[in-house]
Amino acid sequence: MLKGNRKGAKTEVPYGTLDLLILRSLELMGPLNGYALARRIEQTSDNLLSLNQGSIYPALIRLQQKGWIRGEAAVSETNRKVKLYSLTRAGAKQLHEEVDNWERAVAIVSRFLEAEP
Amino acid sequence: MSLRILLSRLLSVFTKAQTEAELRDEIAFHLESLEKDFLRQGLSPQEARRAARRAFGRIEPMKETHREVRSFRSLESLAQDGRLAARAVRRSGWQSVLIVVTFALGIAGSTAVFSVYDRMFIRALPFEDAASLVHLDERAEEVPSIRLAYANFLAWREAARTFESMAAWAETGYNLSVHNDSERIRGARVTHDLDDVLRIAPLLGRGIVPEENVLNGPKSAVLGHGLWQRRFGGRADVLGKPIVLDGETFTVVGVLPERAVFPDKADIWTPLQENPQYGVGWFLLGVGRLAPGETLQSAQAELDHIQARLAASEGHQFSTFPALTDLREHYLGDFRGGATLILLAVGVVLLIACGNAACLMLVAAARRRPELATRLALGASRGRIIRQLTCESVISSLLGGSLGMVAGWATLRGMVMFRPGELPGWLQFDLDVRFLLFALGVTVVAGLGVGLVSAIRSTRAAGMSTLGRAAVKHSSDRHDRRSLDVLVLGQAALALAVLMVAGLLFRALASVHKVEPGFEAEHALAFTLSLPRSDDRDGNRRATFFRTLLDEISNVPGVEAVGAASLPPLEGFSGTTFVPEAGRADPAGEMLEPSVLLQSTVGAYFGAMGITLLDGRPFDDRDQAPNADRVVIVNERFARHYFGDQRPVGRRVRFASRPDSWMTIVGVAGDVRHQGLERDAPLAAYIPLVQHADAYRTMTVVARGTGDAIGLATPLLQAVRARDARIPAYGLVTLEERLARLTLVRRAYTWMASAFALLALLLTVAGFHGVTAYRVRQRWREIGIRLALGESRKAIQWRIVGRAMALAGCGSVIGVIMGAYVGVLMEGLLFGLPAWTPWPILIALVLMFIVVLVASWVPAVRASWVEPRELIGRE
Repeated sequence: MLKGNRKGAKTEVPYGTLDLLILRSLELMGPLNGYALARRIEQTSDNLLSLNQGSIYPALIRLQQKGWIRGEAAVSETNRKVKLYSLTRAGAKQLHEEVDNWERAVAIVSRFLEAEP
Repeated sequence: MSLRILLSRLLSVFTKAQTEAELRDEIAFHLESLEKDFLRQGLSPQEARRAARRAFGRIEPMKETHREVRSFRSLESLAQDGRLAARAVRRSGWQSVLIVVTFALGIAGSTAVFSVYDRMFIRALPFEDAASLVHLDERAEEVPSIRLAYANFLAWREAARTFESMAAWAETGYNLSVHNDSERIRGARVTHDLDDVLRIAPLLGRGIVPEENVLNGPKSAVLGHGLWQRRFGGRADVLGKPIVLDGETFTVVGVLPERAVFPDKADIWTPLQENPQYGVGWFLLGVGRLAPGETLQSAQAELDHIQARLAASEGHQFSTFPALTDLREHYLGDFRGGATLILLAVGVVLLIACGNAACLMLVAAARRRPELATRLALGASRGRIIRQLTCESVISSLLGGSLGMVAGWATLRGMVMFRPGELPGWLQFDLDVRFLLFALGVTVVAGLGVGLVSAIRSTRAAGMSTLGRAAVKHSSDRHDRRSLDVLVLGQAALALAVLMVAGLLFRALASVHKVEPGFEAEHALAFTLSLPRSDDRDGNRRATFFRTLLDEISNVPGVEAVGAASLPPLEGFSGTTFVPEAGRADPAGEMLEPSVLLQSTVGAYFGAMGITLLDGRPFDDRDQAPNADRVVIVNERFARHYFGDQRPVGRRVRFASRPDSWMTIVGVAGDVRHQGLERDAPLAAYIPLVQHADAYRTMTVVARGTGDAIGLATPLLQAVRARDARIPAYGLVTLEERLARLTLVRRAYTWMASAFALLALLLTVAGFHGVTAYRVRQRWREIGIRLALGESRKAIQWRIVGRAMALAGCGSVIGVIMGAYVGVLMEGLLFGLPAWTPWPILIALVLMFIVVLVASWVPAVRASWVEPRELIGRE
C-alpha cells in the first residue's frame, strides 16, 4: 500500500494527476482533440483547477509513448488539421490501476487527517 | 515498458519534422477555438485573442517540454535510462561493456563497407534505366580495349537494330577563357544522341543536334550544371552567348541538368566534328541503350555481324572486333574483386563479433544461473525469463548498434576521403536509409539470435535444478563447454582465414611494388600544356614553341633533363598500326591491329623519364631539318614483335593507314608499363614532334632534377608563364606520385583487409580470454584440490593453456583451409601468387599462437597463484 503512495510522490505530482484526468476523460467521452480535452477537464473541475491548457500536449505525447493513448490525424468541423486522441486497451487497464492507487492514497491520507490523538 | 519508450524515442528522431508540424497545427486549432469561445462570451476580437493566449499558457516553453518528453533530451529520463543501463552493467561487470563494444566494432565495419559495396555493385547506377545501358568498345586480337573508331561507330549506329540508341564521345580538355582569366576544364566532344541515350533533357536551351556533328559545323556548346553555376552564376541569359575555348569561339546553346554526370567529370559538351574518313583512329568512348527485350549477347552478335560485313568491304584493312560490356562492369569491374574481398572480410569480422558476443553472453548467463533457478522455482514462467534475457541482449546490441552506426558513419567518411581517382565521379557515397536499415537489421537480428540461444540454453539448464545441484552443474557445464568450445574454435578459424588472406595480399602488394615500371620515378615532375587550336594551321610554330620552352626550362637551376611527350606518363592510350618494310611476317593480305602505343616527343624525353635506350640514338638536331629523314624510336616489345631476333635499327616502318609514311628506326627504348604495373608493357613507338607537329597540340612536359621533384614546380610554372601567360599548365604531378597512384586501389584493399584481420584477431583474443577465465572460475574447487594434493602450478597452468591452444590449433587448421580456398577464389588479386604461399600462412599461425597463448595464460596464472584453501572455499 505504501509502495503505491511512494511511487506517486516520486513521479511528478502535477503530471501524474493530469495523466489521470486525461485518461479518465477519454474513457468517458471517447476520442477527443486537444482543445476539447482541455475544455472537458476545465468544465468537470468547475473551473476550479487552474490549468495552462497548453500543458496537456506534453502530457499527451508522453501518454502516447507509454502506449496508453493513441493519436490519429483528423480534420475538425472547421476544416483544420487536428489530432484525435483515444484510450488504448493498455490505457484502460492503466487507468483502473491509477484510480485504485489514487483511492488508496486518498483513503490513507484521510485516515491521517481524521485520526484523533 | 522502458524498452518501448526507448524505441519510440529512437523513432521520434526520424519523425521529428512531422511531429513538429502536427503540434503546430494542434496549437493553432486550439488557440482558434479558444478565441471563438471568448468572442461568443462577448469579448472584442483583440481581447479574445489575448484571453485565448492567456488560457493556453506560454507556447514556446510548452513546445520545449514537448520536445524533451518525446526525445532523449529530458535530463530526468536520460538519468533514468542511464540508471537502468548502469544497473545492467554493474550486474554483469565489464562483460556488458565488452559485448556492446564488440557489436559496435562489427557493425561499424560492416555498415561502412556494405554501403560502399551497395552503391558500387548492388544499387542501380545513377542513370535512368541504367540496366539497359552498355559500354561500347572495340578490341584487337591482343588488346582487350582500344576504344571506338568513328567510322565503325557510324556503321553500327546506322545498322544496329538491337539498340534503341547509341552515342559516342571523345574526352577532351579545354582552356576556357573568361575575360583575362583562363581555366582548364574537362569536356566531351559528343555525338548528338548522347542526351537521348542517357534520357536527359537539357535544363535550358537544347542539346547538340545532328547538323553540328559535321566537319566545320557550327561551334556550339552545352554547359554542364556545375560549370554553369560556377562560372556563369546560374543565369538563364547565357543562352546564345559566345564563350572562348582554346582560343575558338563557341556559342552556348543549352545547359545540362544537375543529374547529367556522364561522361565522367565533363564540364561541357561540344559537338564531335571529325571527318569519319580522315585517317583511322580509335579514340572514342561509346554508350548504347539496348532496345527492349535485347540482351548484351544479342547486341554483341548483331554488331559482330555488322563488323564482319564491314571487314569484307573494300579498303578495310584493320581487324578489330566490337566489344560490349555492361556499363557497371566497364567502370567498376576492376574494383569488384577487391571490394568483394573486403565485404567478405568485414562479414567474417561481424560473424566473429557475434560469436564473441555469444560467448560473453553465455558466460554471463552461466553466472546468473543460480538466480534464474531461484526465479524459476518461485514460479516465473520460462517464457518470461527468456523474454527478459533476450530483451537485455537486444538492448546491448542496440546500444552497440548505435555506437557502431556513428563509428560506421565516420569510417565511411574516412573511406570516401581516400577514394581512388579511378572511381567515376558520378558515384556518390552517402549515408542513406538503406545503410541505416542494414545496420539496425544486422544489430537486432544478431542481438535476438544470440540472446535467444543463450537464454533458452541457460533456462533449460537452470530448470533442471530439481535434479539436484551437482547433477545440474555437471550437465550444464558440459553443455556450456561444448558450445563455448565450438564458438571460440569458430572464431579462431575465421580470424586465421582473414589473417592469412591479408598476408597473401601484402605479399602480392610487395611483388607488385617490385615490378620495374620501365622509368625512373624519383626526382621527376610532369605537367601538361595545351596550345590554342587557333594555332592549328602552323604546326611548325607549335613545335618551335615547345622547343624554346624546353630550352628555357633546361636553364632553370636544378633541372637535369627535360622533354615532353604527347601522353602523360602512365595515362591514356593512342593506338596505331605499323607496317614493317621487311619484317618477320609479310603483312600483305593480313589484317592489322591498332595496338601500338604511339607518342610524339620533343626534347630529351628519354633522359627526363629515365627510360633506357637499348640501342641506337635518341632524336637530335639531325631530325630537326625540314627535309630530314623521317625517324622513329620503338620499344623492345615492338622490336621483338616485328623483327624477331634481327636488329631493328636502320630498318623502315610506316603507318598502316598512310602508304607514304615510311620512317627509319633510329633507336630501341626499354619497355614502359604504360597501362599499369600489373599489365604487360604495350608495343610502343615514339616519333619526333617536329616531323608530325600538325597532329599534336597537347604535350606533357617531364623534367628531371637533382633534388626534390616538387621543388621544381614553382620555377617551372614561372618559366611557362613567362613564355605565354595565356596557357595554363595542369595535371602537375611528380612521377613518384603518379606511380603510387597505380597501386592505390591495391594498397587500399590490402590495408583494409589487414585492419579487419587485426580486428578479428583482437576479438578472438577477447573470446579466448573470456572463455578461459570462465572455465577457470568454474573449476576453482578442482584446481584447489589439485594444488592441495601437490600438483605443481606449472602443470595446472599448462593444462588450462593447453586446452585453449588445442582449440586454437583445430580452428587454425580449418582457417588455413578456408583461407586457401578464398585465395584460390581471388586468384586475380594475388598477382600470380599461389594461395598456398607458405609465409603468409606461417605468419598467421604464429600470430594466432602468440595471442591465444597470452589470452589464456593470464587467467591460468591468476588461478594457479591463489591459495588452495581459498579456491576450494570459493564455490
